[in-house]
Amino acid sequence: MKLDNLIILPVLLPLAGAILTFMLKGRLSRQKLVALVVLGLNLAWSLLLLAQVRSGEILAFSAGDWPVPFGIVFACDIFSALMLTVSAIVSLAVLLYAFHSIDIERGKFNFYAFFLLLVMGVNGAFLTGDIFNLYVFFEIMLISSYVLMSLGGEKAQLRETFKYMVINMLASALFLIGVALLYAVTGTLNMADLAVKIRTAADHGLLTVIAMIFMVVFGTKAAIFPLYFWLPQSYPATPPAVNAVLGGLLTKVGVYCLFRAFTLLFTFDPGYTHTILRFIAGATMAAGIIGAVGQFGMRSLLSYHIVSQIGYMIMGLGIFTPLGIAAGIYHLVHNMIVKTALFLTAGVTHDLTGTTDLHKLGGLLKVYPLLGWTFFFAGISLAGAPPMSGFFSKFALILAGLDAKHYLLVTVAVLISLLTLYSMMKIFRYAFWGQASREYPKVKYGPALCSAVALVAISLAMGLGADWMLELVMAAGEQMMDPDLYIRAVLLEV
Amino acid sequence: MMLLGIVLAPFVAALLVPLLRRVAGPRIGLLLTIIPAVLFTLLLTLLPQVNSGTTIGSAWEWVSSLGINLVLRLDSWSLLFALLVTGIGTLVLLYSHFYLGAKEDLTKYYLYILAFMGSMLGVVLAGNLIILYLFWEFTSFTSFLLIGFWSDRERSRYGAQKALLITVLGGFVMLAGFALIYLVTGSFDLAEILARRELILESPLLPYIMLLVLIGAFTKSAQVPFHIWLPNAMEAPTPISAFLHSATMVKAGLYLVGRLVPLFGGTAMWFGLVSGVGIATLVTGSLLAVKQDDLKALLAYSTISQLGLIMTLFGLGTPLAIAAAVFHLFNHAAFKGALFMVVGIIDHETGTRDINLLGGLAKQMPTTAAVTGIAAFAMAGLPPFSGFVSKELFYEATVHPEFSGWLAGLLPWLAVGASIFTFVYSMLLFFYVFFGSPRGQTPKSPHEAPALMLVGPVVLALLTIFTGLKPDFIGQSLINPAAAGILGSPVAEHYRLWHGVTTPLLMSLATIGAGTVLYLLIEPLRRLFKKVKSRVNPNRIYDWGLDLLTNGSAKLTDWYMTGFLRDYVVYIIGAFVVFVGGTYLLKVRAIDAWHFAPVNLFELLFALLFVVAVIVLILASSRVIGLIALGIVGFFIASFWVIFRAPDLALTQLIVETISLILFLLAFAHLPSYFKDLEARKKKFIDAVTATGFGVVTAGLALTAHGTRLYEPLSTYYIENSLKLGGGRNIVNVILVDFRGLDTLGEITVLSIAAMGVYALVKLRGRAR
Amino acid sequence: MILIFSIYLLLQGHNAPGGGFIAGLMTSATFVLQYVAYGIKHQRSILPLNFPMLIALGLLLSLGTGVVPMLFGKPFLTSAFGHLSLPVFGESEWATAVLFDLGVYLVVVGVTMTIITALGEN
Repeated sequence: MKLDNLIILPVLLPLAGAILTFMLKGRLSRQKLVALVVLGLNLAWSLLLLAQVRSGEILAFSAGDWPVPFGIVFACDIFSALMLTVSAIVSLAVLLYAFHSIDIERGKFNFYAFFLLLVMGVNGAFLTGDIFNLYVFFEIMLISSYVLMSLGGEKAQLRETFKYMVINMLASALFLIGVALLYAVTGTLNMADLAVKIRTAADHGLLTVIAMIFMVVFGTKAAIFPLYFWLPQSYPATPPAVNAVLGGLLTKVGVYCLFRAFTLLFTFDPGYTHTILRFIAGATMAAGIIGAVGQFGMRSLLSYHIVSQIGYMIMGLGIFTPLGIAAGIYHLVHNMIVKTALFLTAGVTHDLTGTTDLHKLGGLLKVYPLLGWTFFFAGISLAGAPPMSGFFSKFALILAGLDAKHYLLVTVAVLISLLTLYSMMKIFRYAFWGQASREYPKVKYGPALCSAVALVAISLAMGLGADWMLELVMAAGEQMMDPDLYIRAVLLEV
Repeated sequence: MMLLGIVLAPFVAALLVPLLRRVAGPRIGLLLTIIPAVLFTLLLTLLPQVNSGTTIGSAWEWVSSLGINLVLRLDSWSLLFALLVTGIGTLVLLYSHFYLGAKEDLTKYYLYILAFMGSMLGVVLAGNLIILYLFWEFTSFTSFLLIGFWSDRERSRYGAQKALLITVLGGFVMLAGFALIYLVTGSFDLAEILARRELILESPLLPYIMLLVLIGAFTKSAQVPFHIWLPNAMEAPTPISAFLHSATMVKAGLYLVGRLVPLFGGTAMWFGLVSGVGIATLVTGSLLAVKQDDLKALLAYSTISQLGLIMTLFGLGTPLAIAAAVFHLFNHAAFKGALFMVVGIIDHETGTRDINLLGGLAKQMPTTAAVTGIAAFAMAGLPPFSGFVSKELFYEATVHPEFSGWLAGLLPWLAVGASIFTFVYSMLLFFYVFFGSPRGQTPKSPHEAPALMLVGPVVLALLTIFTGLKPDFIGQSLINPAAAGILGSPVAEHYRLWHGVTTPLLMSLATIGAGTVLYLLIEPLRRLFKKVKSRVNPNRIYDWGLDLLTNGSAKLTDWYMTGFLRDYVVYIIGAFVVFVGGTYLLKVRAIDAWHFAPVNLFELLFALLFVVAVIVLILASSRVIGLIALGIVGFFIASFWVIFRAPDLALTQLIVETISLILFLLAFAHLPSYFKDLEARKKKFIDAVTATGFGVVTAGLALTAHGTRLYEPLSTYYIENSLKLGGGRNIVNVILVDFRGLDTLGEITVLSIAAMGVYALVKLRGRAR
Repeated sequence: MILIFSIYLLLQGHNAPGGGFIAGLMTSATFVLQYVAYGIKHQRSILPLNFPMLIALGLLLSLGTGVVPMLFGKPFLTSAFGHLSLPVFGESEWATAVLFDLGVYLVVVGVTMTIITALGEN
């Protein structure tokens, strides 16, 4: 069997799993087993794909065997495979945590099925080579996220979900406008085909405008400045496990799309588009951190951090050199792992103490040392302290920025790093140090925390194994800075 | 391999602490003392070899694609530091055993301190800038944890955070400097960088590199204006203050500056920055020390001041100045280590460190008093103690600078001025605390410390005397080689306690004379100093800045994060209008507007009615009217499909409209009343502007897109091939299930999720009730 | 009547206006009308269908249609069609796409009805 045809498995497996889960109607332990097996296979498969494409080969196939560009194409390059793998790790980790955290009621109402469908949407977005199909996978991902967010139906939860939903629908409408315009101008939806036609187009004026539409659309999903305001209030209102998967995965799909769009499609005028991206990068970092330092809720603080860290990824994209792209991807990968770990520790804290309000917490380090240290190391990794992964990704960004002479942006990035550390230590200082405000239950929380610990270990491993990681992301960066590779793989070899 | 072992040994031991704690119980401190002692002995055996000019090195590849490799090198400058770290480390661990009660969290304490020791050894053995940086940050973090050791005290947490923020800020800035060095020289390896120093010296980036790297060193070594973290760091247990915040960690900055002397030394900017900041720190520290009440605070400011002195010498950069710097660094580690330990003893045995409560302790604590006297005299620069020798060298170096200008001219005067106050606070420390009569009631009645606790301070005091009496022995065996290690060429200074009547001696005499006079006036002097309070000082700026950051940002965030959906919609549309509309204005040339398909009357009529319905929708004052208007809009869209010959779409649209109407009616009862709050006029205006902007931009886009069809669309292919390849005549359906079947599969998944979601939502809520 | 028309739509969808989507909507409209007219209990009694299960089945059918070609080494969703003689209906066309469409149909009916009954019951 040709491997190319099987790159769609990360989409089909979760869908099949979800259908099975629906059919198991409330038999919770079996549903859990299905989810576990599916996500386990998903991870194994993603790793296999990554091993396959590492050398630079790009796998692709056309659904229904239609000739390109008329059918829907799936393609898997290093970037895609890397994102698949990391999202597989993240979703598996969150699933293991959800087993301990999601209540039986939510579980019975197909929580795990929706979770799998969310993964399906995310994976599809990473793999598709067709811009309308991307829209479809976005919808799958988003609608699953609406359900996951609102499941259980607490008041604050519903209120925030509603806002989140409206904003995202608005963004989706804009997405459609963008797709329609793009189709009207180029007559195609296939991304490789689009890349060729956009590049050879006689007049780039309108195309620049369309590029900006996609910047707004993907930017809203990715929560960049000035489109991030929907995020910080909606995420903390959700159940902790959902919070973790949204924080770790969802916005990153938007980032993935920005990377894809602005390395493959809209590369004709980097002096304009990528300058805007760099400006946005700096503003996003700053806006996120300004939001974060003023917060006293552990989860809302972390949610603002999502925004701030997205800025770093966009910085890599905006620098638009192989090293910049590579560093941006490194940061993206690192951040997905670490952010999830942080949200999981926040989740465990919430499960143990019933709150994540920093004013009400204190002295947790004495009662729950493992929790405290997991948070500590995740926190310093986020802030970019060696030898955690965050150091190398940020350092690569700084090097790329300095190399391309974007001194102002680098200055902002360095200062924001310090504030990141400050806000992480703020959590540590208030929640884990200090005096306990009340008796905390002495319960076994190790199993619930194990995925967070594993993620922190991965972050450390990605730091100690930075050479290997850098080689991988550099290969991805170089591959993406040469769109011909992708175009050829899709247009000629399928 | 051995070097790696030396660095890793403390880390391994740190990891074993929890286990050892169970085995050794409260005696764990004594047990762990072995580790630095063994390392110290090992390093001592390397002394002859290294002093002869050999550099011991080893390297492993790590992140070679970025030039980051695990390079460890031991030359005589590193060795001096390694000896300090392990030597003082041994004494401090021994001392800690007596200082900390068995009730304290000993596991954590020893774990942190050993991790720190390993990190510090890593800093001084690193041969690669990034490895240095890595261990540098480790020391910051372990220091953070140690300052916050008693984390239930607010002052501890405050101090820990301040120390961390300032030193890590420096670290990050320094890292940027290292990155620039890499971009200029292509290497992070110190030896290679030195070999390519011309590249840096000729680079236009030179001033930035120097400034960035020096900020790192300045923050770590508590130089003005970054010195403010050190006094607050005194919240750490006293052995920690002795070890980290006086003898070793704060000297990491000096170590780095020493390392960089061969790179930057001799340039005017280097002298101006390093000596300028150094002398400012020296003066500030000694002035502030005099007015302190807390003995540890006094020592903290004194440390700041002494670090400034050494920094000044590194800036001067002559072989004599370097030798003096190294010598004073060595002396300071000894006498300041001893002083911290005795202050810890005083605190331990009397229950207070407040100078206003103490007095006349010499009777009860004779050994402690003797040690304090020796160390304080050394600090004051009195013969025959070690400090006298290095202070004389300092004076001599300031009198003969290689540079000219106002700073060089001012140096000797400032040096003497600052030293006078150093003399004053040294005397304060000894005479004020140990003689006279007690000034107040101490919480505990004072008595002498246990003999083993005194081992550390006594050893250091003896070292101080020995160095003072035999300066040339220490000079030839440690100081000259270390200075040679810095400069990369042999240094042949000779050190004597007495070298005739020279300018430095006169300066010393002046210092002692003026200092004695001032000490006799100590009470009024302290009162005067306490009155002087500067409104603008770095501490206030720090507190104000953090406060602004927390509260200001919270206010700012609350201002725009209103929680109202309609505001968010305005933001998103606004961003769309600005980014997309703006780009449109900038990038798109005039549109060719008159090439559209002809519009017939029928279509026009429909369009008009459509617009009317929309207007009704906007103006609707109740939900029912709004709903009906919306329905009409929907049906009009359906009719458009009919007009443009798309029966499938029309049918779908119709049914969707019908079903959603039913859904709406079902949900109707549960919805809150319509338009509860009437909006302010201003808001409505903003809404209108954004909405219009959005409309204009999208309409413009649609028209332009219509006018610029650059390529043949895919649909042509679909139309041609649907029968042939898909086996169907209904193009829409063939597209749906064949050409783009995947999209359809996706869309039915979306529908399913929605349905199951609604189902779960409704049922789960129902059950909750 | 509408029900029958909708099934007609489903089957002819490949060649004339129609298809699983619209057919599904039509069918649901039938049920809805019934529901509006007679109320939920009556409907339960004449239509003992588990709508959520219908969704799952429909999805499974569509997915299955797509996966089968993969077993033959073809890409996902590769469809086949041909002519087939049946004793009663005579010569007729077939396409695997119809199966796919049937899945769509089931999903659409399931979805609409699940939502409407869920809302209606509360």
